[in-house]
Amino acid sequence: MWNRQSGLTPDYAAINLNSDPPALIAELNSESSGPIELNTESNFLDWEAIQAKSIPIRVSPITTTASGFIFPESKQTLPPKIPTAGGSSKPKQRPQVDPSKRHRIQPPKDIVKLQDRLYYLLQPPLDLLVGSGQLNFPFDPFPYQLDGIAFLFPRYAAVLADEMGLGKTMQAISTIRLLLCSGEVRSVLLICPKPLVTNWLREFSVWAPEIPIAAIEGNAAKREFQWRSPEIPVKVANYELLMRDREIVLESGLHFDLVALDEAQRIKNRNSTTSEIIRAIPRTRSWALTGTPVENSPDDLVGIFDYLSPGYLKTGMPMAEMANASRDYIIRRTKDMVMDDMPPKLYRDAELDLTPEQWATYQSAESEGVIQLEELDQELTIQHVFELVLRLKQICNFDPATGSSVKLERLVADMEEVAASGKKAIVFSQWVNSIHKMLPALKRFGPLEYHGKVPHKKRDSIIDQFKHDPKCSVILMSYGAGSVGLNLQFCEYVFLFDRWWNPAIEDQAINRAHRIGAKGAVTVTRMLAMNTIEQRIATVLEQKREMFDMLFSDQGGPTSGGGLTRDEIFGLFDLRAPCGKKVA
Amino acid sequence: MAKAAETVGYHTVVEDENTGWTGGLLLLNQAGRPLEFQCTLPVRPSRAHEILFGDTLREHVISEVIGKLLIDKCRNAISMLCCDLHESIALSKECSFPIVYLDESDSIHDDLFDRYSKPPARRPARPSADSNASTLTTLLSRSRSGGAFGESSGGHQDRSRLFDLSGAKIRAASTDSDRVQAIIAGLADLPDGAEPFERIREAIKEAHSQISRSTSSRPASAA
Repeated sequence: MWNRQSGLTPDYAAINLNSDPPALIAELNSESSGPIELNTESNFLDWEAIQAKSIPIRVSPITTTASGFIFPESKQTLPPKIPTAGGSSKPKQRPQVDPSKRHRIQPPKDIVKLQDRLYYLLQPPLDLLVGSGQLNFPFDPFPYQLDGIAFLFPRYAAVLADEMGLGKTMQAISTIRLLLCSGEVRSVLLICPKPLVTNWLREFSVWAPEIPIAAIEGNAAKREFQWRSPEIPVKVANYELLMRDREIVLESGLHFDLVALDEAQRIKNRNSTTSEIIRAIPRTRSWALTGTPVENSPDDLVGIFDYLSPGYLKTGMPMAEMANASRDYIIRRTKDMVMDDMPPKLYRDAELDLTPEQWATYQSAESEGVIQLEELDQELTIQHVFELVLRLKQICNFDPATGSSVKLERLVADMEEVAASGKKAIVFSQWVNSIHKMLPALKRFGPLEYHGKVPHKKRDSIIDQFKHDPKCSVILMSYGAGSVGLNLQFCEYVFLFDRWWNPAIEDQAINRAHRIGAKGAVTVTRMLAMNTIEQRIATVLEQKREMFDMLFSDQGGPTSGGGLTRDEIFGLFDLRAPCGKKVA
Repeated sequence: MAKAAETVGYHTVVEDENTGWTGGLLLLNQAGRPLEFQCTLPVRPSRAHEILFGDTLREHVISEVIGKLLIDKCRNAISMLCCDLHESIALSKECSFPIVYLDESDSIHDDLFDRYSKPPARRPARPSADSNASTLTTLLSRSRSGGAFGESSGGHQDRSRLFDLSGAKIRAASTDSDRVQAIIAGLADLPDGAEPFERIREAIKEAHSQISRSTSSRPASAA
């Protein structure tokens, strides 16, 4: 018949006509939509192009809606830069950090509104701000401390329950600093035991030097003025003071954006007057700092939560239910958990101001002593200077007349936490006399003595008792007796009540507790009376150590004792050495 | 008059097989602090959309549906928009500010701005202004050009340039080089040029979990 050629154009087709054209045309016409005609000149069949048909397929457009919010402008500021030891702020760096390891501010579960939650989630991570130098600290914070700050920042009720020595104070201060700078809070009240007030002031001067802070103290009129003063955004008061000033705090219209309790286990007894007063302070945010949120029973936590969020936990609640309910409010890290982040030996310097009684005695002794030394003139020997130094150091430990001691007050405060957490501590002093004076105040911690006046045959049993008796939380040692040959690896806390001349001897003492293979990190608290001979000695020793490190950093520590030279000892009192030369 | 401070927007779209496509735009000031955040509800194209749009669906959703909407909703001025998806570059057709692409891979993507910023060779018929539904015309005849939908028809090719934005590599069209350079100079305090994408993804994840919590807590409808 016929073959349709391939490659048909819409208009023409070439047909190989082998049959009768009219019949073929009739057949084709029946199939096509238009008439087909034969072009007799070209023998091409003409027919109309295949007509395209459009079939509408209706599909709705892909749409969505969007919503969002603008961040408050007032919350854009960052704290000003603190000068660091290294000089100018760090250069920008972009370390490759796993996104899951960023220190992001996470909103707590009680913030339910999406916009409020996103406000926190969309803040830059703290490690990025620190790394870029926008947010700087005088010392590099540990990663877990950034986590602690990220935890506290969005929370209106929180318990920072890190083990002692991990930097609860630093984390609280740094978070307060961020909150103040962003305008989220304007007035803060810190409440702590009396011996720790100066510690808070000092820590603020290190971690947030630009924040005005004042301790509420002095006579009634002065205290009232301080309570009402709006220029000071951060006020520090001690627990005992609240009892005296309850009317001003509770009934005169004061309100605090944040009230933070240090050693918050003090309010675990909800029936105590202190607890009642503290719970009644008008406030927006409530934080509790304590290394021992639960000391005797889970109901201790109820007492703390009665301050954070009254009625949230109930006495007698099953422990599992209590744990579940409180989980989002509490952050606790122990040294074991953050061992990778921190060095095995953690030093914390307790810089203390002498009590008024100690200070009066000290000043009198120093000025009289220096006069006497100067009067000796050419007969002055180093022994004379030693004697004065030792007398002053003893006053820094205890006032001879009244027995008053800021170091002992601090030691007792710290030991409460050590004992409550079931840990043990060693306290070193160079004087047996000082050890004896400590005993009465430390009685409830089951103190044991280990020094030169303890008979040798009793020493082993003392160590054994200290190791195994849970009621003995502290052992008091002299540097001489306790520095050599002992293994007290089970101790996690070391207190240097007064410091030795020679850092190497101190290191030996500390190493009784800290050795390779020790269970956990050791926290070493070095007590130092500020603006006294102790501070001057410590400064000279530190300078010598730094100088040695700078010169011989790749050759290990100094092989000699590393103590003070003759000239340096004379220099402690700005005295002329007998050779006639004035020593700076 | 003082020059307005530079701002940088970060835009990404998260695709989730359960919820669909969700877009977010985070606007930062020159120090990297957040100024504004916009987020879409999840978009779930239907099967019909998938068939009819074919390979162009992804670009359509990312740039024409989500990206354009987020930019329109943003109340603060954007100096530069940084994106981490190729398809978002197509937004440059609609925006007066530069669009830059986070280019962290080792391979060279010099032709990205060619591919996405030029108008496509052939587009489906647009509905009339008063039409409520778009009408696609299915062509039963074959295309004259024989090329795939959306390809460049050749001719002049724009090149792109790499820049450093606070440690992140970004690629911008060569025509925008001078502007992008000036903007980057104003963003010297930005801590990290790529990290904000992580924040947007976290925010979208949070939004999704809120949506799923609210749908799971709704009572079942009566039969």
